[in-house]
Amino acid sequence: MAAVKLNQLPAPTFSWLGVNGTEREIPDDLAEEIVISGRDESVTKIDVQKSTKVTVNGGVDPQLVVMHIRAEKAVIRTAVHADAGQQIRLVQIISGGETVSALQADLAENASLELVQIYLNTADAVSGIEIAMNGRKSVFTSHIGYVLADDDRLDINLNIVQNGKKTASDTTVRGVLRGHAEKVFRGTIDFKNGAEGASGTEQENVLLLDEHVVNKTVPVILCAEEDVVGSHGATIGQIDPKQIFYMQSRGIPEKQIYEILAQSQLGSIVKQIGDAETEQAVGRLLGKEADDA
Amino acid sequence: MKQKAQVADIDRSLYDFRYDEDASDFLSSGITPEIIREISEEKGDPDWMRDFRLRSLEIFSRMKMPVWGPPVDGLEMRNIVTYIRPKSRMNSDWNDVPEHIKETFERLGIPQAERESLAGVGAQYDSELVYHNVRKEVAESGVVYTDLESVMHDPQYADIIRRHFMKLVPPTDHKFAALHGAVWSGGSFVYVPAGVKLEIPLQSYFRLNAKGAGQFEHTLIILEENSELHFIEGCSAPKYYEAGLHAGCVELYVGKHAKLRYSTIENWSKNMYNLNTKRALVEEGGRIEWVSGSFGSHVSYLYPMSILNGRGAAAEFTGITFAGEGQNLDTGAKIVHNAPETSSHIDTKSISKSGGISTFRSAVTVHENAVGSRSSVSCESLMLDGISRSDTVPVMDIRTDKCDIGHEAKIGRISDDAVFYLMSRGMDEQAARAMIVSGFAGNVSKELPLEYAVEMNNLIRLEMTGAVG
Repeated sequence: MAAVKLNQLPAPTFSWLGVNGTEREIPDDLAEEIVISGRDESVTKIDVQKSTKVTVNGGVDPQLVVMHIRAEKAVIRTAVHADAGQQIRLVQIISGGETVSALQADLAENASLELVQIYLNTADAVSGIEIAMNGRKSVFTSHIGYVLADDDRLDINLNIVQNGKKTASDTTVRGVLRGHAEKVFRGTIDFKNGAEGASGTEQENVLLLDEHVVNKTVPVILCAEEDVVGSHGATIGQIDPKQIFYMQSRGIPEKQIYEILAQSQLGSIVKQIGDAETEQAVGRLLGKEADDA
Repeated sequence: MKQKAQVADIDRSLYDFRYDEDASDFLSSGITPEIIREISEEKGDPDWMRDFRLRSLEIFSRMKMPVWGPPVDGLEMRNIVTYIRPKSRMNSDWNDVPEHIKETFERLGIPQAERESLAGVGAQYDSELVYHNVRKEVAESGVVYTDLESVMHDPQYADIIRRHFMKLVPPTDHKFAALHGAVWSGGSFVYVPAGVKLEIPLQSYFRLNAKGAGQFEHTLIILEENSELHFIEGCSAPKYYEAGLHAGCVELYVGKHAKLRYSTIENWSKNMYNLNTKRALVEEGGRIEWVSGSFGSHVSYLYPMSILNGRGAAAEFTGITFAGEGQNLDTGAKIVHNAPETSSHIDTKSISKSGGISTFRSAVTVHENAVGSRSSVSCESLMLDGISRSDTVPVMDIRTDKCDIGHEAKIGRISDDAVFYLMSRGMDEQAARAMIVSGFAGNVSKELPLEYAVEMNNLIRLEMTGAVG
């Protein structure tokens, strides 16, 4: 195994911040390869417990692919190809273990990809997401949630490259950090010259519940086109004391208040899964996480 | 079909005049221990400063160029002249300043500003200060405003200089901080005693006239407890085809409950590499306010840093960057929250046109001990055409839960609806666009001294004037 540079920030910045990328040792071979094509069932669920390459090809009907990644140590490569007009929803639930995940997607004209990623107690997860929006009017929507505690580590690098005219991207990230957890989220919207009429938004909301957490947020916009609208925002901090006071005045104990608010932080992300069974399973995992905490 | 206002380049005739230099005044180009010793001897450095310069040179030699930011490969360090002997010693009487230097600063409006609205003025021409003066009543209040070279030999202040010089920005900070430590020359020293509140500003103006030269002035300001100061810094140079270099350094010490406003209008010519470092250390209840306008230079790296080191310390950064043809301006701010209940606010605007590249870069770090701290960052970028570029690269590094951090950024172009609305009220398209851009920059101009705000608005109006085609 060799150390490989991962999650390189497309526009590097001050070196002392340590956010320009990371490194991990990863195995050379992938144990398994799975191809999901548009001819398969419209809902596909796969359980990934070892290093795997997953290829998702869009079809005539909208596709929903749910991947539950729960390996001790694994590299997961996911490639998504959405041809003209195809619609794909990809759900990735990543829990426990040391995981390196690399997702690459390319979107043709009028294609759409909706990505839901939920990270639960990842001991050390590195996740790179590269979205190439080459097709005119292609749409990318992502909902990313994470709950980390103890010494959990999570390093995400989302890079949305908007080449096509009138492309639209919308990213929502919500997370909870506890214990000594550390998280880096880099989110880049890259408007290339010629992407006339494109739009891109990104919003991260982070709830910090313990004094030793480390949160790094890097919301980047790169713009080489005049006719675009881009925005990003981030709010990072503690629970609003007014919320705590209100709930205490309704008789809810303080510990339970923290759990309720932490779960509600991810509630809007879980609702985007679009598969009742998976939503309930994730809800149970979140509940277990709360009990453990 | 959409029509666009064609944007003319800025009229730089106000700044673009020059005088021939006497070649015998130039030290050799390049950076070697021999040249450093020669500079040190010319300036009459004390031993500790000569040794400091030589140590800085060693650090410069082994440090690498930054691996991020705009390219600086057009800068050939071996071609840069780091020191030019002054034609005159520093004067406190304007009439004693050599004629061509006097004319330079008069054309830039400096003595007029002193007479009308400043508590004191410093003027640097190439490597050395040529004029420094403070009003009598200001000097009587105990305020010191002079050059670093002479105060280094003053028994009353020599030890203060030694304790503070390049302690906030050590030569190990980055390659150009090391270069500054080796070749620095000129700049200002300001000392404001406890409780003294200056109601009118002090101003230093830096003019680099020589071709292929560098300017490396050092500004050191110390505000004691409960004092207040507004310091204004201006810089310009005529245009040459050879690259010029500005690697100045600003160190600001803001004492308990003191307040410092540091305003800069940077208008170097478009052959300049502006690799400047500015840093403030703010003690309990103190406040630093940066107001920064970046209009000139070929390449800029400029990110004033505020270290909030005492409970309740605060920082505010308001900036605008205007990148036109041939310019790659990388600007922003850095804030370090290193004490409880500190607060910071960054508010920036950037405009890109005619192929210019503007990058907003920031770092907000909140340490574990900074409980109860707050920070908000807002940056907006305006693209005036499709051949320019505008990037936003902020970082937030948060290491305590008891804090509230917010960030927002927007990028876009002038709204067609807004132009249409103004045109429906009788304005032509150019005037409508100019008004929208002036409004966009309004948060900065309202923070500037009046004459600078007027100059900035004139500059924007000039940029926006042109035929519709």
